[in-house]
Amino acid sequence: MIYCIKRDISNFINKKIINIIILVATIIISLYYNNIHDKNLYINIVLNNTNEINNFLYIIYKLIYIGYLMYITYYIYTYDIKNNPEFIFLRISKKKRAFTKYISLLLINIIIHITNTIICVLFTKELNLYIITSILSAMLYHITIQSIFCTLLNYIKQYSILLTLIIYIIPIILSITISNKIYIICIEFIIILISYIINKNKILKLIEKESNV
Amino acid sequence: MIKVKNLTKKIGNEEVLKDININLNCGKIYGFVGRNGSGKSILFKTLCGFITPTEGEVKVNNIDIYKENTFPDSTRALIEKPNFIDDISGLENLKLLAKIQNTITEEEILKYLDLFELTKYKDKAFKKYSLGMKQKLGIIQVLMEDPKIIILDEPFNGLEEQSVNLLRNILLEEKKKNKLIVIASHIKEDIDILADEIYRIDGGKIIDHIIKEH
Repeated sequence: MIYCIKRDISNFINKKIINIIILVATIIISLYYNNIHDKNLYINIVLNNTNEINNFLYIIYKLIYIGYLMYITYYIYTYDIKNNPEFIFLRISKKKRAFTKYISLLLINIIIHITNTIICVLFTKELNLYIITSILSAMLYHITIQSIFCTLLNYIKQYSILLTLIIYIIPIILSITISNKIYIICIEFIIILISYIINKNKILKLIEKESNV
Repeated sequence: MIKVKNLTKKIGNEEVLKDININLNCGKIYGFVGRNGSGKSILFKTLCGFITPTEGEVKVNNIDIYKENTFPDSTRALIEKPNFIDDISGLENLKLLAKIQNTITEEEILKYLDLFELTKYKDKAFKKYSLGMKQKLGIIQVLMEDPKIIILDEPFNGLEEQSVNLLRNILLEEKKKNKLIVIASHIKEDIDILADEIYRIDGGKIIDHIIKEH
């Protein structure tokens, strides 16, 4: 399991160009928003954790960010099918492999959010409980979106990115703000759990789809 | 034992494997010869359970791996170029792989590294390995856990003459241990020396089957 996770994270870090693009995008959005009076709102913008601002630049950033998360999810979920699947698949059960993918995605998510937080802290020179809560909330939300994407990927590969984007954008369009955070967290956990149960049985199907590309 | 019956694989409209029927038994080396793109790698991937056939079945030790939705037991393979974790050493890569099933010790890994003259480079990051060293490491990950079925796609690529001879001797030794060995190469001489039976493959079809007399 450790080998699989290390391999996933190493491959993610080696995706240098795509990581630099998101880093530059984060710095640009930071330069644009870091002067606003509400520092908490700025942090949530960088972490993609708010729908409160409908500024065009922010929408673009949100789309780049979700595109990045989807690409990384797709890449991590499928690269070892193209590159020496025999190293892992002949040694590990499908169930375990699906589980390690989830752990890898979780760890990658943590790396992404910590990097963004470091950028925020460098700009605001502030680190408090609110920021930490915001990171955790953003991480959970994005892992949920990634889990939905993984599940869609198993069923409708061609349209999965589009459907995930729609799911991601719905709250912005409807400007949904549900005050009960515990309720949202419970739903997110249930989504992650269901998507894992579906994915562990579907991983072979994905291999088949990949080999057809 | 591997039994392939009426195996056909279509990718899009193209038939990459056409009605393959082969029986591979333990204690023998089977060679697959064919040009690049003839379908050898895709056949090997199918034998490993990575590519679901459009038609037909693949039975490994009497288990239909696609019907049972599983990967073959005690099988190790090297298909196409080896791809380990770039930033850690060769030894660390092998140790991590061995930890998945935890059936061998570090000493056994070191023994194979020594055999393939990689001891000197065992602590060097994988990305700094030469093509031949990468290939040797890929072969070691196949052999180190003493599998019953060994599948090697172009194993001699990038190896110098001394290592080619060493690998040939190792494979002949493994055969004596009643193992099933499947090798593909586009160089016929490699196969001629080792194989008990040779399958010639072209355009995804077995066009010739030669049983050698010893």
